[in-house]
Order: sequence, then structure tokens, then C-alpha cells
Amino acid sequence: MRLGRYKPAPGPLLGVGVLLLILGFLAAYPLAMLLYGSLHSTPPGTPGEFNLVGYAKIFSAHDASVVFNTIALAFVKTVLALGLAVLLAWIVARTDTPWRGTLEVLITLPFFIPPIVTAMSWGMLGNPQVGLINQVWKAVTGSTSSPINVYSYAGIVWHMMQYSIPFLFLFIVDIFRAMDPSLEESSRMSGASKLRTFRSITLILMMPALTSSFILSFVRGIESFESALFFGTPVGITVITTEIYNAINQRQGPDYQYATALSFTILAFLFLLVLVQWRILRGRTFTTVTGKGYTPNVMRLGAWRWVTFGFCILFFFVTVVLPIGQLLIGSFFRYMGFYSADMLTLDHYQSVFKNSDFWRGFRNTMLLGFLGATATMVLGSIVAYVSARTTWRGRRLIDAIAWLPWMMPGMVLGVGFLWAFAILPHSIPIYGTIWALLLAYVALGTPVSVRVMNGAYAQLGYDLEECSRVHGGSWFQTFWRIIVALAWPSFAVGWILTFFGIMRELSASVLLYSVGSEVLSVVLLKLWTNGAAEQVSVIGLMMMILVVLFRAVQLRFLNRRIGMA
Amino acid sequence: MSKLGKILGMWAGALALTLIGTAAHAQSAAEWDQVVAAAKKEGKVVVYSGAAPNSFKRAVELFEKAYGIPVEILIGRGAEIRERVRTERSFNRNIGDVLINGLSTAIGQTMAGDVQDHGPLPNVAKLISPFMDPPFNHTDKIVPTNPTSWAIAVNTNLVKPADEPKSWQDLLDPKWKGKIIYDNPLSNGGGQASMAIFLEKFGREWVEKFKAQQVTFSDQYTIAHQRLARGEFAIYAPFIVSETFNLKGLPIKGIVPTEGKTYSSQMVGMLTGAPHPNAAKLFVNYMLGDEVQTNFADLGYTSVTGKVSTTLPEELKPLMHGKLFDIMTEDRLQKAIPILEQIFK
Repeated sequence: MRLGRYKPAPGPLLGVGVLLLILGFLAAYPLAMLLYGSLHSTPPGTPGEFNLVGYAKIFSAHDASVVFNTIALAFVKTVLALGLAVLLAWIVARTDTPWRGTLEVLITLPFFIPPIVTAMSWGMLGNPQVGLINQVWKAVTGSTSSPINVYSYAGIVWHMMQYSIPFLFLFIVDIFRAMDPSLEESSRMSGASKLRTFRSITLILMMPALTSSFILSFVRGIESFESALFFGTPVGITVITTEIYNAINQRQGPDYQYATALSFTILAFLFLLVLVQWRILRGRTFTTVTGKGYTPNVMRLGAWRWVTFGFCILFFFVTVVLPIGQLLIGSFFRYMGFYSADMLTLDHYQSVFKNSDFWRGFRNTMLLGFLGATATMVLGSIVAYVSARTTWRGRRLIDAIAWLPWMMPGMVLGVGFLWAFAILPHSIPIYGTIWALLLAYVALGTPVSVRVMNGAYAQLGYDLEECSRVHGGSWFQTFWRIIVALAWPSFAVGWILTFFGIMRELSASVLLYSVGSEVLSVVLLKLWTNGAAEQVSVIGLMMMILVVLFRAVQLRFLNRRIGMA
Repeated sequence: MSKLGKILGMWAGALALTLIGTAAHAQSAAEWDQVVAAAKKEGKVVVYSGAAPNSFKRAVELFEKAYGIPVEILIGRGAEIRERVRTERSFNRNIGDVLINGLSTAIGQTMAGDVQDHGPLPNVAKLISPFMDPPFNHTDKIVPTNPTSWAIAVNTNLVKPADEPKSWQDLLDPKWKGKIIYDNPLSNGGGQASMAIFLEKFGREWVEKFKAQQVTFSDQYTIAHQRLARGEFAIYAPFIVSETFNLKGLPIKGIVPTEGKTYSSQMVGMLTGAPHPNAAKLFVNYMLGDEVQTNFADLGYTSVTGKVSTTLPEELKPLMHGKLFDIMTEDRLQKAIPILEQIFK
């Protein structure tokens, strides 16, 4: 594999140097500030002393149970979500299940809704006393017990899965789509069953994407906050992020030393996981897109296609229709969950539309979303390219630095950005401007963009690049017209993930925004703090409409390019 | 000295004092006019607020109308505002002029040097007891604006009037076992402050018995309201009485316990290194003015200057402005937290 790597013309040292500078500033610098915070008795700028008190606090029985809870929840969530995501992605990308284009948009919807909104929904649907699902169950079976309780470990896992499945699905579906089916056909022609072909060829070819997805999702599970806050705290389940939240927000003086020490300990653990992934994939090749022409085909399932269709619809019903339907209906009533004629109102919509804060936040978020997602994807594409397709010295380091922000809980990383930008010389006007937000968003989005593009590049054969070089194409021409052109569906998916990641980001936004640069997440926080949960839902629904539009446009382009039915 | 001489001397002294007082008043009025003029010249005031935005919305509008000085507000959660302010001060990046935050966080910030002395403010003289003394009026740096008070709320579909809890003590009644939702006592806020008061007043045994009631804890009061209204729980505490306005039409009723409501306050002060110091001073002073305090009373808060609401429905007045029990101060809270952690962690 290494022999086949393409050796670029421009000075690799310069390229690596520039990338190291950019990533160092965006990712390593804020983390260095946090590392200082974990080793110092006071935050930067305040007199104190270096000590290990923060780390010492971690080694308690309480923290051991918190860490165990967190890892167990994240692991179970990731395994279940990945299994379902692979199945759904395979159905949508590689079978003749009807209405696949529509299903693809619908399956991804829950990912884009603010978690507090779906948490409200599931609180209404799955609470043991008066939850709708339990009420229906009792009415149908005559039972007096409630089978569903979202305020439990299972509830936390389920709520996390609402986000993980669509997220992983988005990752995996394009990998399935970009796969040359000739390998699978060879397997079938050699007598292997469909199942064996799927297990021995399809899954193995997807190893880079699957392990990346697993790790991304597992890390996200470790850092998941809202699910545990809403469904764990009421019944005494604590995870690392709620512990950090308490250390920062819920004590009289925020304990940043403990919060950052805990975060760095987790970062070290997660980094080990990444190293394991690198070890697993080292020396293996996963090329499926080569210079040879192929037509992505689909597996004909016969009558089974209605079973797969039914499965997708069931998934859509449980993860979208139930919670979103609850939100939609609730948004027309004065209080969510109280459905009587005298409570009917359009006030929540009117309040949102008349809210100048909302529109200002919306404009700023759109601007930052477009700029941020584009910049992030460009950076991610280059980093992934250098890491996956060159022999440049330092490429591993670049890849590792780009990973770092993903492994740090958002609420801690937000403080890292605040410290990092504030400490800069006044001649570098970042703090207090919209640039601070943009830079933070790029840093936060880069890990996903690198993973998305890495998965895509890993499938591209080197023959295409070599062909371009033989015909006189420059490094840039080759990168742009071969690599980017072939990997662009993944680029588009990454862009959308990043765009909506920016739309939802709160931890860094609330510390870095300034007057005039309010973003949507801050507006949502404002409404939530005012107790206007129904207006938060209205905005959540509007965000979903936006997703449908974006996804429809993206898939239309995609269809045109690869002729998907 | 003759008797007449003594009387004349006293009169002369009194006259002199009056004249000095009048002159001082004239001088301070003139000085205040200078502050107002300088504030207008500064052109704007930037407020960092950890309070619920709606509580200050009208107050800000009134200020802008009174002085024509635009107010820019940055909101965040209490701890985020605190760290932002600390970072800006540490690295000379001051953007904010005014701080609004909850009592204990604001006092913590004052002790850390985030807030500077606001100097003489005309409206400070309007503060009534107990708001003119610490912990409210803290070393002339921060002043209280709108005390929040906490009571008990019940779901009226589940709790008949005869069964309603009358006091905080009634929360230990076995009939409420598993039916109470309470703000997380380990989180900074009403749940913790109130539980610290119960610990002091009723003792550790009471707190342990309360825990044994199989209480569900919540970090989100909005969610707690919803769960109470839907009938998942019969009782919610501590209930922010001013939230009654947001819950109109729901089967929720606030009850003032016989001991009184626990309470705290939003505080306002001038940030150290404020870029618009005069506008900041003017803003802080204006929050204690009659218009703003009446507005707070209308919104269900206790007025720190004794203003009375003109619009609050009569039936809500006992709840909104009923008897107060106790307030938790920073030093006492710090002593209580380790015990609460032992019990609830």
C-alpha cells in the first residue's frame, strides 16, 4: 500500500508545516491552555500554583463508577447504533427497496434536531406514569404496569441512538454507494451466499469507514451530555459530562482544574482507541474505486424488498414520526402535552417570527454555517489527503492533532477557546469578534471532516492519480479533478454534518459570541432559560425543514452524478 | 453660657448643618448630572447577564427610553458569565460594563475582583430592609434588583385542597413518597440554596428523611414544570413563584409554606475595567428606580425598594409577595455543600 502512495511535487515539508501551524492554532493551542488549567490551581491569568490536585480528585470510588457508567453506556449505544446504521445504509444504498431516495432523507432527520427538543418529546412519550406509549400499552393489554421508562440506562442509550444512527448512516451510506460491486459479484460467482458475501467482502471493504465510525460514535457517546442530563440525573445516573457540568456550572466557584483534569484523562483513554484503530488498519488496502469503469448496482431482493421497506418505515415511525409528531402537534398548543381546544394557539410561531433575536441569530448562523462548513471541509479534505494518500513525514502527527478537538467535551473545549483567544496579543483582533466563532467552529468540525474524507479516500485507487500525473496533470489539478471530483459525495455529506453541527453548537458559542454576533444556539438557550420550551420546539421544527431542503438538493446533485434511482 | 446662648448656638448649628447638607445635596445632584451627561456621551452600555432574559427585558427598555442609551446584552449561564468576565479582566479585554448574576455567583465574583465600587448612587438610599445590608448590598459593589422566592407547587388534579402541604415539614408526609420532584440539591440554584436552609433550620435528619421520600431530582425547572403539570408528580419544590405567569391554565398551584418562602436575588454591579463606566453606573442606579422596581413587582418579584405592583391580580399577591423564610448566604452555603454531597451524592 505504501509503495503505491503518490509522491507530491510541492515541498512536503512546507505543506506539513503550514498544516501543522493551522491545526496547531485551531486544535493544539486551545488544548494546551486547558492542559495548563488542569495542572494549575487557578485558570490562566489568575495567580496560583502548579499541582496535581485536579488529577488526584479523579481517583475516587465515585469517579470510578462514573467512568464505568459512561463507558458502558457509550459502548452499548455505539454497537447498537452502528449495527442499525449499517443495515439501514445497506438497504438504502445497495438494495432495490422502494422509495429509497425519500427514505434516505427521512432516516437522517432526527440528527438535526436540538437534543433538548427530542428529550422533551421522549419525556412525554416514554415516562412511566403518563407517557403516551405506556398509556397505549395499558389500554391495549389491560396491564397496569408500564413497559417503557425513559428515565433509565436504557432511556439514555435510546436517546443517544436517536443521534448516532442518522450520524453513522450518513457516514456509511455513501461508502456503500461508492463501492465497486464487481468484488461482490466475483464472490457470488464463486459460490458464496449473499450473507457470506456481505460478511466477507462488503463488511471487510468497509473496515476503515466502520472503525472510524465506531470510534467517532463511541467518542461522541462518551461526550454525550443532554441524554444523561435529562434522563439520567433524575434517577441518579451520573456520567462524565454531567460530572464535568456540575464541576463547572453547579458549584459556587467553577472547578476548572478538576473538570479539565477529568477531560484530559478521558482524552488519553480515547486516544489509545484511535491508536488501536490505526494498528488494525495498518498495512491493509481497502480500494474499491479504481480507474476501471463500473456501475454501482443494487441487490434485487424480490419480495423481501417490502420487508426492508417496512423496516425503514418502522424506524422512521419510531424515531421521527413519534417524537417529531409530538413536537409538531405540541407547537400548536399553549403548552406541550396539554391538548384541549382552548389551548390551541399560533402564538409560538408568531413569537418566533416576530423575534428579532431569532432572525439576527438565524442570519449569523447561516453565514457562519456556510463559511465554517466550507472552510472545515476544505481543511478536512487536505488533512485527510495528506494523511491517507501521501508519504509526507509528519502526516500522522497532522492526523492526530486534527482528532484532538473531538475527544474533548464541548463545554470544556469552549473554555479552551475562550482562554486561547483572549490571551492573544491585542494586535490580533480575534477575541470578541465573529472570527472567534468561525475559528472555533472550524476546529470543532475538522475531526468529522477528516474522518469523512479519510473514509472516502481510502477507497480510491492510486491508478487514477498516477494516470493524471502521466498525462501531465499538476499536483493541484490531480487533487482537484481526480480526488475531489471522486470524493465529492462524501464532501457533501461532511459539509452538511458540519453545517448542522455549527447550527447546534452552544458550548463555545455562548463563551465567544459578542453583541451582534449572536447565533441560533444562543437564541435557543435564551428561550429555554425563559421557559419558552414550545418556541424552542418551533425552531427545532424549522431547522428540520431546512435539513430536508438541504438534503433534497444534495441528493438531487448526487443522483445526477451517479445516476442513482 | 446662658440658656439663650445655648439655644441660639443650637439653632446656629442646626442651620449650618442644614446649609451644609443642602450644599452637599446640590453638589451630589450636580455630580450625578455629570454622570448622566458622561454616560450619554459614552453612547452605550454592555450588560453581561446570567439572569433569565425576560426578567430584565422591560427594565432595559425603560432604561433605553429614559436616557436614550442603547443597551447591549450578552446572556449566558451564571458560570459561563463568570468565566468570561474573569478571562476578560485577566487579559485586559474588557467588553462588559455591567454584571447581572445570581446572589452567590455575584458575591463570588465580587470577592474575586470582577466588580468595582460603583460609588455613590442616588437610588441606593431607597433600599429597604433586609436589602440594604449584606449579603444584598455588598460592600457598595453590587446591589440587589429582583429577589426570587421559592414556594411549593402542587398538581391540582392530583392533590385536593384539603391534602395540600401547608409547610416545608409536610414534604416528609409518607403519602408523598415517590411523588415529589425537586431541583437538584447538588446543583447551584434554588434547590441547593433551599436544601441548605432546611439543613440549618430543620437538621440533617430532616434532610435524610426527605431523601428517603424517593424524591426525583431535576436540573431543568422547565422540564420539572411539565412533569408536574402532566401528573407525573404531585409536588414540585422549590417553585419559582414568578413562573406562575408562564404556567397559566395548567393544573399547577403555588403554595406559600407556613415557615415562608426561601429566597435569593439577582444582583447588579459595575464590572472592573468597564469601558463605559458612567453608563454602567447609571444603569445600576436605574435598576433601583421606581419604574423598574414597580415592573419587577408586576412580574412577581419582591421589590427591594418596597414598590407595590399595580397590575398583579389580587389572588396572586399572597403567593408572589407572601412571607419570606430565609436566604442562604455564601459562607453558610459553603459549609452546607459538603454535607449535602454526603447525603445526596
